Amino acid sequence: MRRRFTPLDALVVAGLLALNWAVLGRDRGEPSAAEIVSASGIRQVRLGAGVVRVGGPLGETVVEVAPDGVRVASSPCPLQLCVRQGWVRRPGGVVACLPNRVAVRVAGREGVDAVGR
Amino acid sequence: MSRQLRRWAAPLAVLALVAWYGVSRRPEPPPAVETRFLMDTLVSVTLWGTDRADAPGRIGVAFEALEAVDRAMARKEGTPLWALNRAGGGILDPATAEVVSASLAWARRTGGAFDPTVAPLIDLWDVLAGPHPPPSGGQIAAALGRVGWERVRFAPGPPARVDLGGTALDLGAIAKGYALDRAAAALRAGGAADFIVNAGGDLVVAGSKGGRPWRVGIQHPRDPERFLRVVEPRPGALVTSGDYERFYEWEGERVHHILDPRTGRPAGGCRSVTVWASRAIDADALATAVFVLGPDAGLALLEATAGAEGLVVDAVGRVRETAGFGRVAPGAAGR
Repeated sequence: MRRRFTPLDALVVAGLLALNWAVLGRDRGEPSAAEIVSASGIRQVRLGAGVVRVGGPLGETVVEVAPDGVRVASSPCPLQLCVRQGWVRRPGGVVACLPNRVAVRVAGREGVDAVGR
Repeated sequence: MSRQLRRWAAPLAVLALVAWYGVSRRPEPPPAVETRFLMDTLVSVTLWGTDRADAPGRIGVAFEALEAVDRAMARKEGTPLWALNRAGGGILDPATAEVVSASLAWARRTGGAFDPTVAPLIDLWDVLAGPHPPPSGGQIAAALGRVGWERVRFAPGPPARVDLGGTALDLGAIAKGYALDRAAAALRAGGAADFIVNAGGDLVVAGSKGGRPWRVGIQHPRDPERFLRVVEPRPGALVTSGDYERFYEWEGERVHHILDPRTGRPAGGCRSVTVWASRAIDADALATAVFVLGPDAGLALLEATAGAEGLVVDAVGRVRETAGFGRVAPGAAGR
């Protein structure tokens, strides 16, 4: 009599699990790209793109897009809150220079649908 | 036959388990989202379950509603509110009349902690201009002399009229809430049931995300990378006021934009206040009032206000909330 569950069966199950992980398991809320919102619209930038210069009503906002997050390196706004915010790494996280109308969002699967602030 | 069945039973069961796991973990299709700069902040409209082709039109209607409020009620040169302040009063359009009426009602209810005549103080402190020495006591006293909601005479009409009694209106602490309500009404009129309208972190939440509650992170007031809490709010408005939104530091003191109309200085009792109410206009006014009143009197106000709940982070970082906040904004599972 054959065994009910053969090594071949185990291999098939392991393969299915691996396929499942490969398709779905990678989506673990890691940043996938950066979205830059400005007066000229929304554009996607790949993570790790480095320095991106974005124009606004006050002048130029310098955005830094690293492999794992984004920050505003400099901006011509009076309060400098965007610069002080530092690195944003959480998917869905936003750093915005409201006076210069530039915002950068970390794209990726977000843990929340909105942030109350 | 039964032997065959026995042989395949275990692999089939595992296969079913793997399939179920895969389906349950499958990322949902993303909702339609549009983001614009509006009302001096970043505004997003998130719409769930709408056909991709219909979404831009529906979202566009919501933005039109928000823009209409901004055009009428921003205190900027050229707006009707600007003209009203210059003239010392006049006839109000129905939307502005509704907001002025509500703002005076909240001023009365909060003992002036919320005051729509705070404009001279906002101009004096001019926080948005960036770091500069705070005004002197004499300057503050002079500005306070032109602040006082009791001096405003409002007649509902129609047409509605207002006499400002020497004050000037700034509706910035309530008009955003009204705009959110108008945007939500426009979305509903267009057939949308499941959406979030987010104006700089002040939210109207409606329906759900494919049967699952919307998840909202409440910003930690001192760590931009952390949430204070992740909640699944009941449909309604969730509005937050914080001293971290617009501020600068001067000689070790945080100079922020939420001014106490009674002292003429930035309110010092809270770091952030989050209020839930069914209407955003009420949540907006209450969030400012509670921030100004401080945690004790502010939470007491919320407990005494039917249909409003709230969460306060006080000046040293302690988190306190009304007895019913967890009911209207329960913590999200599996965060």
